[in-house]
Amino acid sequence: MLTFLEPKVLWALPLSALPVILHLIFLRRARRQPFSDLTLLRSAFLRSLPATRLRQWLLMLLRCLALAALIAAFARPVIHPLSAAASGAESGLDALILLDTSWSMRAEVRGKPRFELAAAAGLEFLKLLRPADRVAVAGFSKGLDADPGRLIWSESRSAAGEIMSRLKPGWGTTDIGATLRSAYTFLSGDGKRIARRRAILILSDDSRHLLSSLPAAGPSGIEGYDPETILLGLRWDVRVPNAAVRDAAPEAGALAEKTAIAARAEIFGAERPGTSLDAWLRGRRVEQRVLGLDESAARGEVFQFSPQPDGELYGRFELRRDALPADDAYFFSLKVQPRPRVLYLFGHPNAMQAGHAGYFLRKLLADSGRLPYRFDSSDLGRLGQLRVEDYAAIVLDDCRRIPPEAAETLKRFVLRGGGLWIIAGTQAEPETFQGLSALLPARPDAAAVPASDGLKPADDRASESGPHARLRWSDFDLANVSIRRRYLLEPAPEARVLFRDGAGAPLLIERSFGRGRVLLWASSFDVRWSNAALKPVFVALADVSLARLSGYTGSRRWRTVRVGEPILRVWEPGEAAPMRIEVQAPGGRRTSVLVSDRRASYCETREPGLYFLKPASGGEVSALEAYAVNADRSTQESDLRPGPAPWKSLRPAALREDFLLAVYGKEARTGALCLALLLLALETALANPFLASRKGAAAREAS
Amino acid sequence: MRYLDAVALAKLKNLRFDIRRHIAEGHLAGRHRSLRRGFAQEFAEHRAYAPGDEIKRLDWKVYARKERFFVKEYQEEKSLKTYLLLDASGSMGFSSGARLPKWDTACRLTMALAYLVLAEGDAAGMLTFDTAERVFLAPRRGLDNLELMDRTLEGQRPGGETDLASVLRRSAARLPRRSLVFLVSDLLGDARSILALIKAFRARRHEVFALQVLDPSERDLDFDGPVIFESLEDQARLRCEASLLRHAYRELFEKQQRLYQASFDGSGIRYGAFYTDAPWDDALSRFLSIPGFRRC
Repeated sequence: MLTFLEPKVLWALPLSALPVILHLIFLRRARRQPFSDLTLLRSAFLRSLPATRLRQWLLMLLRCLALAALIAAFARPVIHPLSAAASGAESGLDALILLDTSWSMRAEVRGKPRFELAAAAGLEFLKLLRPADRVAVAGFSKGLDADPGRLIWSESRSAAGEIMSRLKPGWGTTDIGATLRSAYTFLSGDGKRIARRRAILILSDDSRHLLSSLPAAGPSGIEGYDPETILLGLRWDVRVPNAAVRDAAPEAGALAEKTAIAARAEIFGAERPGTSLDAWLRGRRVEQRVLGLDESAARGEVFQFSPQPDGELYGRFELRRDALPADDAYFFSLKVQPRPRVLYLFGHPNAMQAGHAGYFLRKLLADSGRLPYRFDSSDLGRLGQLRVEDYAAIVLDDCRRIPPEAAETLKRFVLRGGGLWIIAGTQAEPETFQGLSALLPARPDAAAVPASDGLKPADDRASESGPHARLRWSDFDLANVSIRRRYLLEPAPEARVLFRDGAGAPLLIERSFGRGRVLLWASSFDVRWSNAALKPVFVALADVSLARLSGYTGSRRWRTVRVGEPILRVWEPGEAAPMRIEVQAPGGRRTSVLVSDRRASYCETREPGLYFLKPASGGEVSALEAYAVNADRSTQESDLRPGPAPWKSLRPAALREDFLLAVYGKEARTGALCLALLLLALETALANPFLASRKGAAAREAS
Repeated sequence: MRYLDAVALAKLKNLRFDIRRHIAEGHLAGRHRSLRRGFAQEFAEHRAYAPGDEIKRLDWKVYARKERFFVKEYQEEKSLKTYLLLDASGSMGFSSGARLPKWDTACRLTMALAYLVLAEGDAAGMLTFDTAERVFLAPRRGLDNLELMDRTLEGQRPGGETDLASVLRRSAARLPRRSLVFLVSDLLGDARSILALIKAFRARRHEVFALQVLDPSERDLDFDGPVIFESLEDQARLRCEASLLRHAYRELFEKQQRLYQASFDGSGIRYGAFYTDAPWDDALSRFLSIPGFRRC
């Protein structure tokens, strides 16, 4: 069986009759030649008439055949080698067209997305099918978009074209192995497969990432592999260098009060000595770095971001736009718990002087910056002038008398969730804390001298969870902590003793009140009362205590998911969960999501970008939460470098030729040319009068 | 003269047409000296009278001086009547390319032969013909006859069909026996009938010389492509591919020429083919130099 790669050339086939036409024309336009006598001519004419005519027609036949062979050579004939085709038993081609919808197909080639070019090639391919052929169309990324059982064969090109035109590039990654497995399953389930040629056309990029999902043995290692099924794929022959932001992640080692996020950029297929990586925070470019990218390794850059009032760090890292814009930006969202503000209220005028508790706390919290708290101090008498709601914890130290207004303020503060650390101090009296009696974990009694030194924690672990979960009190030299004076405490039933003195009397007691928490230190950090502030354990004690009071865990929520993964928001027991939240997608689309069991799940993460969650009841702006959604970069979709395709490649520019060659057989242009030359040589030999006369002479000699 | 200009005459001066050596019987008359002695105008010798000699042949002047009878003897001169038969049919007007028509060559040959014959003192006549005799000039002696011949030829144009056979048949009956006949023609046509009639000339004791005038294209058929051959003698046409016909034509032509050659040789007829692409005088010189002719 013979087909042609350039069938339009066959329209020139009537030209092969040119010798006959020319012969007739010239015969009609024969020149007149007067001649002396026609007797001999007539005799010669009659004598050579049969041979002449035979030779003449043979010559014309050879010329016609030579021309036809020449035209056929230009039409690029393809011989079908398969026996089925040769015997005519082949009843058609079953072509399964798989259009890659992964996000790497968004790469632009000469200003057009590869997906569009691949779809156009698919539509062009449909035109090549013959009436007896059938076609099925499916998109694929991580696998076939459609269940193989639901794929159907279509004999209508237009229907297949419509299916193809409905496919859009998505944000999935490519798994050609799984796709081919499903394709083979689909093909093997067809009952009419006998005597039908089968082909799978993969309309994708021929890049390395596509092939990485294949088994080491290639397509033959895929389950259900059918060697008789012809695998075809597009070959672009275009180098598409591409740079990408591979990922980003929170980074330790941030500068003071800053948050570090590391972004990694890489490039495939070229070197780019000077490209820029921009950091955008909340829609504003905050930093630009010049990077030198090469193929050897990804380049990491750490960006330091200033803390935001609401702790929401969201934005993107962006490279200069290139062939694949989809991976030039990497969105991030990091929820950083704000550093809690601690208010130190003192009642002793010398509290901030050296040797007093205020002095030590200021040194620890404000000057050293070692603990994640912002320290403010104030005289208790000025409490009314302060906004206590700005603080997460209040330390009340060394008061002789607490005004009722201050007590009420402190009480409301604790009720609303604040933490109050009461340090009994050196001048407290039994009436001092009368205004706070409702929230006190214990009632202080008279001051006394402990029988022995040392501190005894109720639990060696500083905390059951959180940043202090690994802290052990036994790591400190608690025996050398000397508590020279302390108040005797009578713990409330709901109170919990955290530390005791060397004699076992309660020293640090905790209780919850309202939504807040209260700690009571039964002594003072004044060096006259205790050397605890001079010991290393003081740092840990202050940190743990303030953390318990402020609820500060130092948590960072990396709110970054992949496209297709759900955004899951879970409200902690202490948080106020709304009934419904509203999710705003990057395109501006808003979706209302019901909060159920303090959980809300949003699954419509169809494209990369920043998704904003806020209570649907019109909550405060501070309640806005950002989630970053990025395309999956784990499969190196950004690597657009061409790889060794394990299938027969079709060039989009020469789709027809390559398809016919790959599916139907071997091109026989050289053979046709040789045939034409052979026929021309025969014609030349036959038309040579010298040869003819030699033959005649030989014949005469023989006679 | 048109066909015998000064240049041609200069070339012919080196030629001589001496037929005597070829004619053993000496039956041809003219200035050619016969081996037999007889009574003619040129004195040979005196011999003594013998009974039976005619009285009128006695030389009385010798008797007066010597008183003895002597008879005068003369060298007998035989008169040679030459007939130049020139084919004036249409085929003689053929020419290919820039060559002269065969007619011109034939006329020049005829005039040259007439000159050579007349120069020997013989009588030369001329007959032009196509399907029938056109012009007949009776044999006459003297070079003055050349003028008449030339004028006659100048007024002739080849045309019409050839019926060489019937013309020759009639001519053979009309010409006196034992004449010298030059046939200048292309001899195209039915070769066998032509040969038969030429042999009939020979049977009437004519001495026949056949000069075949041909154009090279009639030998080579050097035409290409589709050609419609139109006969110059009739309205016949033949459409064919010349190149495809060439081989067979040449074969037939060669066969015909071989037939002429063999037949003429067998009949004692001198035969020569004259092609228009060669100088006619050279060809004539070669023709006269073949055995049977003597060159001066």
